[in-house]
Amino acid sequence: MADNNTPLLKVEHLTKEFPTGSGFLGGRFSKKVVSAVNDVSFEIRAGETFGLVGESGCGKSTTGRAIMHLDPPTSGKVYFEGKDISKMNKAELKDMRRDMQFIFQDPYASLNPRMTIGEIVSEPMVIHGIGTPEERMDRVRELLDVVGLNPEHINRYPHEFSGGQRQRVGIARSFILRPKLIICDEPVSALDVSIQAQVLNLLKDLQQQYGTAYLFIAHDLSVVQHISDRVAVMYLGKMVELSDWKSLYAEPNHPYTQSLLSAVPVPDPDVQKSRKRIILAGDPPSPIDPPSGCRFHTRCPIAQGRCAEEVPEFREIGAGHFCACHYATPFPIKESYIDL
Amino acid sequence: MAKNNDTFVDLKTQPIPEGQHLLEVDDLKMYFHTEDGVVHAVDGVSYTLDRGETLGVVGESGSGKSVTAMTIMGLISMPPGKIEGGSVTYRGRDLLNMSEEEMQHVRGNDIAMIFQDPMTSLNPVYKIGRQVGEGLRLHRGYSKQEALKRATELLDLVGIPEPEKRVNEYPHQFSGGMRQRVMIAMALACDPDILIADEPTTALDVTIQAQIIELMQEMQEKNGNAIIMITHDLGVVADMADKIMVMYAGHPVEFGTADEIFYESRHPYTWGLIRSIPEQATDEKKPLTPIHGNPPSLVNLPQGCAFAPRCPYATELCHKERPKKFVMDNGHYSECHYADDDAFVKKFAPDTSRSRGTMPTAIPDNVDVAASKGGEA
Amino acid sequence: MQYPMNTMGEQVRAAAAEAHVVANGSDKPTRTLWGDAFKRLRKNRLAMFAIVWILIVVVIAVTADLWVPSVLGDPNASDTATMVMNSRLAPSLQHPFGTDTLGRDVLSRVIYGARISLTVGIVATGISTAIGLVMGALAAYYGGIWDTIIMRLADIFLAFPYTLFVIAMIAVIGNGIQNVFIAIGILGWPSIARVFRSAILSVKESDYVDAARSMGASDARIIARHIFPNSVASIVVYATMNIGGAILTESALSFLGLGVVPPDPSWGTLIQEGQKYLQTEPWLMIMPGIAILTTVLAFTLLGDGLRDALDVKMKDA
Repeated sequence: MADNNTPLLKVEHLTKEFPTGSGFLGGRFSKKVVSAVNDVSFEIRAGETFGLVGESGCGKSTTGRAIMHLDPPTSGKVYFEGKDISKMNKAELKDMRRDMQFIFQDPYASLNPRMTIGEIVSEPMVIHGIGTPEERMDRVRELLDVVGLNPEHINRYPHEFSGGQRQRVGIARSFILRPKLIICDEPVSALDVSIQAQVLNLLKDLQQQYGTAYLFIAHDLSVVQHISDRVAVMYLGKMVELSDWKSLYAEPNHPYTQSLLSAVPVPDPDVQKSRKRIILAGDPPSPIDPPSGCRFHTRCPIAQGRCAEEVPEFREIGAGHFCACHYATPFPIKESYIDL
Repeated sequence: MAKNNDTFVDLKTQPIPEGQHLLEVDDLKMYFHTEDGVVHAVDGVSYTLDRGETLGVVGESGSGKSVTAMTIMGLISMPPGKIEGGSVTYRGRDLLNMSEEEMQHVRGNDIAMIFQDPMTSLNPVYKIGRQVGEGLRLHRGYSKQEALKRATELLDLVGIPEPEKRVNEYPHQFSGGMRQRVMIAMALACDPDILIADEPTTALDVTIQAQIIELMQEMQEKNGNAIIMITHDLGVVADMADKIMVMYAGHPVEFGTADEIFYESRHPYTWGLIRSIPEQATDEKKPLTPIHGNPPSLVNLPQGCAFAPRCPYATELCHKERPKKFVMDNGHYSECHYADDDAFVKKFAPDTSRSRGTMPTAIPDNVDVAASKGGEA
Repeated sequence: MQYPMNTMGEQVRAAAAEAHVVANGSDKPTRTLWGDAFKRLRKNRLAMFAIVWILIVVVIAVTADLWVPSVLGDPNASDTATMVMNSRLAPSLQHPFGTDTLGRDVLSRVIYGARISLTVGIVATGISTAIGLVMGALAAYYGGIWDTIIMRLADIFLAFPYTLFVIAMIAVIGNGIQNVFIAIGILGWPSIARVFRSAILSVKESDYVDAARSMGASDARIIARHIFPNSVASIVVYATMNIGGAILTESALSFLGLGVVPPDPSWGTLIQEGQKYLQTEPWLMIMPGIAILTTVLAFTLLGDGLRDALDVKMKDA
């Protein structure tokens, strides 16, 4: 089954719901659920970067955690190299985790403050019983050098490093087993712009060196676009648009993607002053009781009556370009498409 | 809180002395004395600000951009902080030598500040209406009812739906974007001269960030107040700042109008910041050119130019001598040994000419942007 | 707008931290978290006084057999000669704390009392902590039904007045020093379990535990390497304070005649004996009272100091 055509990761109809509240017996009898991720499907090919973008609460991080089985999905399937993760036993899951690693958003919270850098970076090797202690430390030194840290700092503690340096430690840890896929959950959003660029370049270099695929989760569209081969946009638990990075920017079809693009600040006063912007009103609705039909219709500038009733299909509108909007069409929208 | 409204002079009604600006910061120095040594947090900051103007203060964490603002507001605890020199003059009055009592009247009334995290700045146990109206009761002697009425109006003004209902709610019932709107309403309650915004949108999503920036600009148009916008993201200040001060290691390294900073910058650090931002591209992705290394320790500053260790163009001179300001006729200045060298600037500055071409706006032509008001959830 | 100074404290701290990005591979020596904590503890005067006081008490108690009987007199003397000559003397150079009805030196008895009180404090706390750690860890890590059972059990224990519960238990198993250990130790676990459980729960949610899980780490490894080292600080603090509490409970028991059996001196029995002479020879009760007060206070202050020193949030400021 695992031939060349099998995608590295295949996600099918992934849905994740959390019970709300902490009522009697942890809300086990409450019917209300937070619909964090709803029917999301996509594939990641070996060696590519797949960007997942959306605002906070859109379910992009939950998707990453569900794939990693940190929070197992409510329904839907995740296949890693053709194998169904939910059917794996403990040993198989552990093996899978050698090939799938995670980089966290918060470089302060994701490193154990009581462990040295050497212990932190070598931990995956220890867990999977690889190498002797000396070999591990040699590998750690090598990797610290690769990620741009001083290998002599192997015995230091995380609190002695700046945010950007800590994120490099996290990256070194995720690469030490040379995994096939790394899920990067907002790896640069806690960093300053200048440090952010360093880390993005590092991730690109490492990808070229090791051929690792990334699932790159972020809220910053320009960052995601910069690093990704393909980009998916999520809104309130649903995937609304998916395409290669070029056409997502050149021809955003979903009105939400368009508003996200127009909201990204551009470091160019002339462009910034002259361009038109769609500023969405209000906040995203609560995922406890998501809007009927298209979940975006309450904030959509082009919503029609149909949008509140019918859930739009996630359909292919161009080669490899998917969009979930009744009125999706490469911009500019032609008058005839609007069903008044 | 002191209630002596008799002795209280409303500074913002005082005339600005002839030849002076609304706010003048001159060679301000504020150091922290800690166990690890003296932290040169603010090391010689100067600027002027007039009503209706927006100053963008840009720099990485540790550049002293927030500490400068908090020093002006008198919010640094001394010790460990200590003013080592310079002055801050607001409408001809020296803010640094004011008593704490006088400063309490200035804070919120004349100069207001909003912070990155609106949650820690709002008191969780009081209703929103009370917190928004508190400044009015304190500084203006409003009664409880008057303050609540005005708070409702203010919430309406900053675009919070159903303000009559929401004044009676608590901070945790508001989303992040809504809390930041509340902070802006609080800050604007007493109609301040100056609004200092410290990374007000960093914790927010881009679509919400766009709302907040638009709101701040709208409010400025209505009230004519000055804004000091502190951010690490040059993109945020591109269209809202009149003047931009780029700070590095507690010190301004370049100062100029937004156009000068973006199109005619003469400092390698500013270039580095511009090159670090991923550009939205439709054809080829341009590689990012980050600034290497990390900001220097503010305890042991390099001997020469503080940026020299990270500067790709640094020479021996840069490592030895601290550069002087190179001031151009229009007031644009840069602290770089080579700022006056046109050939150097031409050779190394990023291509930020205005001829970069226009960016697609990504907005269908038939969408009426002004009418794009979605429903409130 | 108001700038309440309590929230402003946070902002100032953040600003100071911002101004204080030092890292950047400077070559200062590696500091560990515990090392840093000790450095901060050393700056806390009250905590240092407490440590010094506890050390003095411990050293005196441990070395008592070597010098106390010869210098101050046998604490448990019962011969008539001593009794006739020395009964109820006021404090003097020879007997700094005075003597009791049987002519025994009170300082000597207070010192031997310290041996018993300290041992009870430490051993009983050790027992409580051991039980509390296991129970708290089970409840927090496995959650669900374990959590419900253990925490409801703890609630039941906590619902009874503690001292009464101990008294009831002593009444069942009989008095004597071992039984005091057991009673105080066993009944002290619920609060330790609660503290440890909540510490674990907060650590369990942290990203580095998720990171370890995502690497495929076993439960045992996650508990031993990640959760335990990061939640144990709160237990160190709590256990330190608990020692003082245990000493107090033991004194109360002995005062009621339920703890240590005379003639062995414990601070509680000394007070109980002394209270009859409060009007005429007040030192008989005051001196052991001061011993309890200072020692319990010292453990509490030390606990407070440790809590401040170990607070990770303060380290960046």
